[in-house]
Amino acid sequence: MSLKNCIEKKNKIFADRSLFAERDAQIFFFKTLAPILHQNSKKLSILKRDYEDLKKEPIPSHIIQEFEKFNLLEVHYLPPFLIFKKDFFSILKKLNTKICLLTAKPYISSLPSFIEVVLIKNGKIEPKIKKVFNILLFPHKNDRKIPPSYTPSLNDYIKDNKGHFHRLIKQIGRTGGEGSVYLTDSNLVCKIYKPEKTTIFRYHKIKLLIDNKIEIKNVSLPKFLAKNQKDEFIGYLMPPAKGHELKTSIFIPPLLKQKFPHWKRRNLVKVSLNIAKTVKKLHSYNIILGDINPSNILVENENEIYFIDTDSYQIEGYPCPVGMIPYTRVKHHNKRYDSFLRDKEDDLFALSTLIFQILMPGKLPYSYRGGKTEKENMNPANFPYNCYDHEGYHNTPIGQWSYIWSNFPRKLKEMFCQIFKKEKIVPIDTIIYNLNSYLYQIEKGWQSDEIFPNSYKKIDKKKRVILDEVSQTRRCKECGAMFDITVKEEMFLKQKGWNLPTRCKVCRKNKKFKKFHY
Amino acid sequence: MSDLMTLREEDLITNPATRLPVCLCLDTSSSMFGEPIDELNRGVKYFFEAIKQDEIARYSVELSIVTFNATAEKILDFANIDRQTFTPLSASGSTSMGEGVNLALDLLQQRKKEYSDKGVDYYQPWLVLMTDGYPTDDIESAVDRVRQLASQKKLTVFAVAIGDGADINTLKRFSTMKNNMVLKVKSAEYFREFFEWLSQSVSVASQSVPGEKASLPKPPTSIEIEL
Repeated sequence: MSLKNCIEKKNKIFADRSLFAERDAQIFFFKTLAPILHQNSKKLSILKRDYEDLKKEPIPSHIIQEFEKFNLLEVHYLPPFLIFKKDFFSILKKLNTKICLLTAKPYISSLPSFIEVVLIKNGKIEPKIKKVFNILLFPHKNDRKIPPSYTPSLNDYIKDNKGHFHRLIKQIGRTGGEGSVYLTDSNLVCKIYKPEKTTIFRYHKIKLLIDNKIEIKNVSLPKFLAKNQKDEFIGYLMPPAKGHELKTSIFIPPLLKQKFPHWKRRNLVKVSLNIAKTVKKLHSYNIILGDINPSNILVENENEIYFIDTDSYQIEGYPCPVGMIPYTRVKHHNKRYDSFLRDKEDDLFALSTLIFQILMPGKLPYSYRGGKTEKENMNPANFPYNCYDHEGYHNTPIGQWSYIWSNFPRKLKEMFCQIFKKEKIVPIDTIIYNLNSYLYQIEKGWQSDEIFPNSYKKIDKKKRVILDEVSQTRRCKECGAMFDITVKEEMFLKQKGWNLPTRCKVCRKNKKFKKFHY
Repeated sequence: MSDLMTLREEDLITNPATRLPVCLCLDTSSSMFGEPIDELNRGVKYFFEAIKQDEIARYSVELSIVTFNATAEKILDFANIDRQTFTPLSASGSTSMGEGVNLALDLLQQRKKEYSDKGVDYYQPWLVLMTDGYPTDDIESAVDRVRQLASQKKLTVFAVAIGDGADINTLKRFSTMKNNMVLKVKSAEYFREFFEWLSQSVSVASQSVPGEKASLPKPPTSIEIEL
């Protein structure tokens, strides 16, 4: 309901304290609210106790003064039995008159029909109150199969929950473990479950998402329930998605080159940013993704990322029944995925792993020299990259991987170290902040824009990053280790007319040391 | 970099995909002479092509081939599939199965070590053992090694009998599948179907979660299962 409508139709218009504390509160009060109140000859009500507190603050007291001047404000005195009630919302419930509540705080609890809430954010009216799902601690148990009597296939008609018919015109991909996916003549995509995978939990979960009309750009959330001609639940309809799976594009370097031939590092950072922002949006509804993995995210280009397989998302007590080891925190290994509820921190771990793998195309954070299988490697002690802590990191995967790590900005390295070595969860806003600043630094030319830089990061005396490249790799004739000679080193030595080194840095140093001391 | 580092190593450095090493351990004794060996060649060739077609398997499945007749021989060592060329096999001699399996296990062990040295994650390897007859050498040491690895879940062995003449009991001792199942390809003309199934299984496994049992596709009806 719009603000105007709400003020027109309700008897009392209340504002709570949060509205006054908003940024740009004055703009809303003077430019938006005052004219509407004036037109409808109504007044804004404030509880007596709020009135007194607000008068002590500079901006709210100014607003109150101005409103009183034009006779647009009334102070609401509570009946004696309500004076000691603390909770603003429960007071309103007791007033029992038609109320329009203006607030900056979204109320999650269920609303009685006589209270209409208008949400104001930063001086603007929020289009609607966000329905946020509850976070529960224990999963619903005892899922039950509800196999339909028949399953439609290609060219059949299916029915949505509004009673419209859609024809299945083309199958997309192969029939997977859960069912088949079709394109419909209404340009939607329909997922139809195998009869044995059609369960009461899936039905409830999809219905919850549809009933709450949650729409997030480029997230293929269910839009309609799909039913067969006998009105039995068979799946759901969703908007179409396009692009390459992360797994078969960015995560395999030859395919990355083939599918996005002109990409630079900044494109990878943008992809990571867009994924992180979408996860943040889903979390704001208390939707836990659960199974974040490189096959569930499609990349059309760096600004167009699609999230698919959303029917596995965890909502309220309906667990996400699937997962993949590298994206699951160790404490959940060896558990059945449908036996527990995941939390946002679990998602953040998965997201961090995915971002690491995007920026280090395909490399898992715990892959190290001397490692074994993915599961065995997942131990904070195995994180093989330099974390500024003077601990051994001799088992960093060789070649390009250590170069990429070296070329990350320090803040980003510290973030990954916190996550993978210290097992701390970094908030999503910090992740987004660090990625944004990485992008900024690349665009300014302060960090390498190469996806695979071919040398370590160099820093000059003024602490600026020098972009230098490896010209050749040699084997040290003394210890046999591989070492790099950069373009600048090579040029310098050639200018001087000196030979290129045949020993690695350590051996050179040792030799020099011996020369002086013996 | 290439002049100092062999290509084999470079692939492991540049491609971070988790690898599934698969060794085909094939019987090329004289009884395979003629049509069987031709069909086998066609089947293996098809297998290679099928894996190349699959975007994920192509970069994560690695193949090697060991043959055994009078002795065991490494026909093809592990490498990126794009660098491998398969030269057709010919048949002659006896059936040194024990030696063949031992050599295959050595190759798999060696490749796992290379993955580990370069910091590439891997899935536990697969060994596909195919024979049409009875072993002519001592298989005890090979069986012991297989059983030991299998008990630690570090190896999957598909034991495949070709035709009715194969020694099912020996194959059962090698098989690590449920109930020591042995797959039976009735005759040479069904090799293609077997390798089609194998390539699908390999694709599924290379996309599964390491450590968790992938549910492989059902073998085609032309392949019998001996329990």
